Amino acid sequence: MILELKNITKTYFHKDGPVNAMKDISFSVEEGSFITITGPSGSGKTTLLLTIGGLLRPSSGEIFFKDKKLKLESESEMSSFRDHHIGYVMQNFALIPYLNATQNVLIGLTGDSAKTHNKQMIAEAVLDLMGLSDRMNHYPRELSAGQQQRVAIARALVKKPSFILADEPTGNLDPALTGEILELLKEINDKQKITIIMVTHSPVAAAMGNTKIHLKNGCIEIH
Amino acid sequence: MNVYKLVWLELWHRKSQLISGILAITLGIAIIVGIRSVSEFSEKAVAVKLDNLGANILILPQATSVDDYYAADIDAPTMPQDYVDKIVNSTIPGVDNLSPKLTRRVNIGTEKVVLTGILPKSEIASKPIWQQSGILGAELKASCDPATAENVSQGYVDEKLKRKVIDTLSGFDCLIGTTVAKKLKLTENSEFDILGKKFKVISVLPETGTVDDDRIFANIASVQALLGIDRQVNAIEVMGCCNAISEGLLGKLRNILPDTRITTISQIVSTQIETNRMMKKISLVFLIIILFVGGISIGNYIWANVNERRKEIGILRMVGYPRRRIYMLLIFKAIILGIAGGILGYIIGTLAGVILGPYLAGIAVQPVFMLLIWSLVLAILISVIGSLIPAWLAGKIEPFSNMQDL
Repeated sequence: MILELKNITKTYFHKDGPVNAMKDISFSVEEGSFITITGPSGSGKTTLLLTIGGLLRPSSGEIFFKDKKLKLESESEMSSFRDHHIGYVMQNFALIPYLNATQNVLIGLTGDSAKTHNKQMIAEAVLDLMGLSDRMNHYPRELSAGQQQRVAIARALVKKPSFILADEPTGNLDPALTGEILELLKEINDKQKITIIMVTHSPVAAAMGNTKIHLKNGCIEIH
Repeated sequence: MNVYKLVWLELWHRKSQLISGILAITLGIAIIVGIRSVSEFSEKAVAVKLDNLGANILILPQATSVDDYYAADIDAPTMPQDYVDKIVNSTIPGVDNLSPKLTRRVNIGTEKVVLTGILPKSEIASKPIWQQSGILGAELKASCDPATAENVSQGYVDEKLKRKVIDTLSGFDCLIGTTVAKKLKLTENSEFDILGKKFKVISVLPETGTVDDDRIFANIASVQALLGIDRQVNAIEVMGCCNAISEGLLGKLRNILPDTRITTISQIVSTQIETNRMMKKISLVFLIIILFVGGISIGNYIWANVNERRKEIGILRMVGYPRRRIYMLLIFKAIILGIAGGILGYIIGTLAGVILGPYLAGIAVQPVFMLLIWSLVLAILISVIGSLIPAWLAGKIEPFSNMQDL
């Protein structure tokens, strides 16, 4: 087991009263699994993903990573956790516009995990793996949506993460590109044994998961 | 990719913002450098002009008033000449020249004149108007080599000898003021008796419009012997640096010579001090304004930059940048702006000073290289201080700021 969530609750305080985005969520993630999270808008999918990734602190509950309890309140520990173990793939690609493809991948190696002196070569090798060997010096505006998402996946992969968190990675792509990106993620999961947790609205994408979680009103409805 | 490269790439990406950011610092630094350059050379010019006015501190015996001193009263009190040595040995900073005097009224024929014993070198050093009049002879160059064509063409036949005589003023030589010369009908090389001793006129002094016109100046040792007042003086004139005076030179002198009356020749000193004080105040006022305006401008620029980059900072936080790395990102950017603004501000301010100095202040201004260091320090300081709050707020940006709405 690579990750375990116990009784996770997230409450936002609004002027009209508290909003429970997640209610007492518990589940575990096996190493090398492909988990898809589905549910209607506002069901807490993204909130759950952010919490798993250490981007959002839950109101209560515990998260264990490889049987070690994460100090969710510690900014430095959570930064280090994100830096060493998590790769993110976002719907909006989350690329920095003034950095070319290689440089965008390289920022994934900026943190403490970057011990190698050969970062440039590693970044280029990952981009090559993503089929972008001829687009390494292109800026995001010069790339198609599918290519931008491949750069984002390369940035997630370059640090050799324990798992990749994907938030609607095909949300901005046409059907052809959607299939292409989903295949790529599946391939990464199969060949590199990297655990993938993906939030999606798409039934096709959701079907790819070997574990499926459906959320409704902040609670797990089907697991 | 390290933080520094990321900052360079970002600066390059937003060139117009970069230019406006640098401009804010550059203008502030340029104003300070311009004012400081002009005021530094202006202070020097004023100091030279004020030095030409002569001594500015008077040391008298305790019982003497300034009026007594100028009246050269026959019974005016005296003090030991050793007081000069006391001041010299004290190594008080800011004492440029000491000129001890022994003055008495004496009868020459039927005329009453004032005889003043002086140390020639010190006296001449404290009397710029004497130096300018040519009684010293030619410049040092001429003294060393009086036979050059240039010197000969200017009429300097044997200036070396002439200067030597004036500098040393031997036993029975004297210098006389113009009024006395006319009154006693004396000219250069004339000889006349003072209290039974024969003196030779080495030079008739130029008209100064001061009490010096009514005096005969002889070597202080000769005058002391003549009057029978051994190693006593009744005044020591001091040329004190005006900054030292404002920093307490008078008090330090009083500590060494407690039984004397020490006073400034107020008009000269107050002009010196007031002029310098005014320039310092102007610089200080501008410095404070620039610190505030510059700091706020940079703070505003960095804050606008942070707001524009919220998504980008969120991405960096998401991939694992800790808060301190975000602070570094912005502080390093501020340092770059400070360095660029400091150097450009120095260049523009110096150019403005050099070009406008002669028109605005009537003085020639040259680059002051020390101001480059101050410009850099000040610009970096303004820039970093102005960026601290925006950087701190940027560190608070959540890593999910780049994501879709929750």
